[in-house]
Amino acid sequence: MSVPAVAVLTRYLGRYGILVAYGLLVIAVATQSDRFLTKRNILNLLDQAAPLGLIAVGVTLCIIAGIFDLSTGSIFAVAAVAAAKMASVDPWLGVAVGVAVGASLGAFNALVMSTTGINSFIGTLSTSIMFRGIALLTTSGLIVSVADREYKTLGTETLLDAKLTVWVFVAVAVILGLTLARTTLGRALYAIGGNSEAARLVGIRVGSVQTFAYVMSGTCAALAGVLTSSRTGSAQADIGIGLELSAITAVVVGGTSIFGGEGAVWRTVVGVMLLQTIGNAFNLLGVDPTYKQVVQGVLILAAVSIDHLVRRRTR
Amino acid sequence: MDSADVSFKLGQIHGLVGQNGAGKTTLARMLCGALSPESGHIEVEGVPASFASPRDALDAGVTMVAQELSLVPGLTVAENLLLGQLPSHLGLCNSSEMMHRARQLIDDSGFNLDPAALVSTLSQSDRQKTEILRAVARNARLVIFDEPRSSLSVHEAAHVYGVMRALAASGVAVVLVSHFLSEVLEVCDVVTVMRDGRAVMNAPTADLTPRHLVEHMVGSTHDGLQGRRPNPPPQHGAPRLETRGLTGLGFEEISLTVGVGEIVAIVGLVGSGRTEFISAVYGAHKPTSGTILIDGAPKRIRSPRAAKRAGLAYISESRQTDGVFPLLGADTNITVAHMETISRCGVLARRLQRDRSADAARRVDVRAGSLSQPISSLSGGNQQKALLARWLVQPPQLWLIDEPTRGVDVVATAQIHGVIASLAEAGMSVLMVTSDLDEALAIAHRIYVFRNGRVEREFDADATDESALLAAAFAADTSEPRQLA
Repeated sequence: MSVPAVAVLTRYLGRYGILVAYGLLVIAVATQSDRFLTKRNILNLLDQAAPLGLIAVGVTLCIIAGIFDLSTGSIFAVAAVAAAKMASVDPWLGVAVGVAVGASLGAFNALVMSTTGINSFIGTLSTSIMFRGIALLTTSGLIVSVADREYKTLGTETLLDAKLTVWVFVAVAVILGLTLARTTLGRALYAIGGNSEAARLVGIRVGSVQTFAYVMSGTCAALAGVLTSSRTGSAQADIGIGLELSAITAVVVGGTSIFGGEGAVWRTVVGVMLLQTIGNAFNLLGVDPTYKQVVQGVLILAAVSIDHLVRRRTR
Repeated sequence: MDSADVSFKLGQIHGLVGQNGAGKTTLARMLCGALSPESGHIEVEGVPASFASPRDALDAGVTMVAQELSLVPGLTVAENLLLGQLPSHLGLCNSSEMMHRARQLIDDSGFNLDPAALVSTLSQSDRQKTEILRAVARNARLVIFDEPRSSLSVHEAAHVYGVMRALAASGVAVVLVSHFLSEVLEVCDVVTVMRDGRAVMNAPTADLTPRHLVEHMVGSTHDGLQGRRPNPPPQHGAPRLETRGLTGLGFEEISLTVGVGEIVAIVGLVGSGRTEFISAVYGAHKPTSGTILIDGAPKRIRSPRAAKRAGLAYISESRQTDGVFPLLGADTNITVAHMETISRCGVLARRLQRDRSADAARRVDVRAGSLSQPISSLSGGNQQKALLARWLVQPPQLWLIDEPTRGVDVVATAQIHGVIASLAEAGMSVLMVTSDLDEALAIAHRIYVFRNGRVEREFDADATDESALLAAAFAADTSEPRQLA
């Protein structure tokens, strides 16, 4: 191979290192299990990935803009509870209220950070505790079960064999992916995450753009919560604990910089799929569940290291 | 820094003066091991020494009271004073012994400091005193004070000078780097003037005046900066920019004008309020009083966004911290301030971005393999040119440029000067801050000298020279010897 061709190849590998890692994982699992690459398993995998995927895609916007949103797990629960309660009045009212609650809590996050000026990490950590408390208050710690049949079919309805949840995930990922990559708003998110003072000095509305990121993150978490409650026909205050960290893990595993200013939605989608595939492989291969977490940690580390190594080579 | 032969004697106070960037701080940092010299050597009491780190210098008895203080804010004054030599027994800190020693140090100096106070609760001047006492506590034989005066009042400065005298009297060599020429002459026994990284004068202070020092600071080497400035256009009507009594953090009562098609420079020492003033005009932080008029009409500029809308552009002095977006491409960096010109209804058009950025980059000759590569992979000069290109995408009426050519090579400097001249030719106005007096004289029509946050004097660039500007910046003509304790 000629030298430029090698250079082009390594640059490609550098950019798509995480895809290489994911491809290797898929091949490895496929050679060990015949059931892995079946239509049923793949649909199942996507279905399981959708709620986390929705949250992670919203969180991607925040991380790129230099914001940590640790309240998504709590917003997930509040929205699920609100939607399940309202669904007894009308199923679509339930969906609308759930999503609106998520968007409002996101806006509340933005308001808190902009008025107090505190760091988003500690700020959203605090609001997440508040939100979880609101979910507990409204349910009195009990399970809210939904009787409405139409609401329960929302999450299980299928279109072209895939559940509606999956389609919502795909649609949100495409919309937010295009927003990030192709719009001035997306460009402003990258600019703020890369150098917020420089962004302010070129006239970017830093506060408004960050508010957008918080609201999208809250909305995505709420969508995930609503769809989950629809599928199980119930909601309670303690669902989704730790989801916020899984979402950030997926974002970072995909190769979006934890320091902001760099990354993409497709990376997050790959990150989510990588995490889910690892879990799926455990079930298919019948690995002793006691080893699961150790091996999961090792595999995440391996995937991120491959990505990091290839990228450093090409820098 | 080029080459400097200086010797500091025990028991003497030695002044080190020069323009911004003359190499004083560089020399000081080499002496205390923070930088390594490329060639030449340092001798301590006749023995060649090489300091690989500040630790080595400390061991050899050299210590510095730096401009940026290096205290641990979460510890007490006493702990900071004795850090690295805390009295301890079997690894346990002996706090009564520590407090005793700290109190003794403080009492000997005559400072008013509480050894038990947390450094984070101290005022800037008390931190400075702590820093000074720490140097004393280390039993240093050579103590370098880098601009100790900058955060102290006259009265507090007198205390510091008292400590310096006491140190010298106890047989320590003291070096004072300062912009306060009359005070240097008052306090020091010997003074060295640095210029362009060289020690150009070395003499006892006995029969020197501030004016003598300034004369030596002025370089005779004009490195071929040819005035490319266009003739100033006749001014009629309102100036493009006028400030009336603008006051804010770091500057007071600034009244100046910039005419249509005019290039105006602000010069002054570091800390004279130049940067604070120009960034306040752009709305980066709010002035407390005064008015800004654009084309004769008062404008309230509350944010950079409002400034941009009022027809202002701003390039800050710190390219890395608040200029470029290092991770983004050069093309994105160039178009980021005018995304409306490369998008429709908020959707970016790649072809427009490519064309607009290439067009602007060509006008200032940004050299890059591809404009889509991250801007951080470009040289400093090309990054600076890209920042100019950023505002050329849709040129404003008034450019505010802080240090247009800092850290930029000679060729790029000439190109940037060419661009600034062409802006003025096209009827735009430029207000720039520069530390390079040659630059101000070469391309500006008029020059304001700032000192201590105020306009000291205004000059016509054709009717002045470097030494007049420097004299104004140092106030060497007017200052009388201060009364010092």
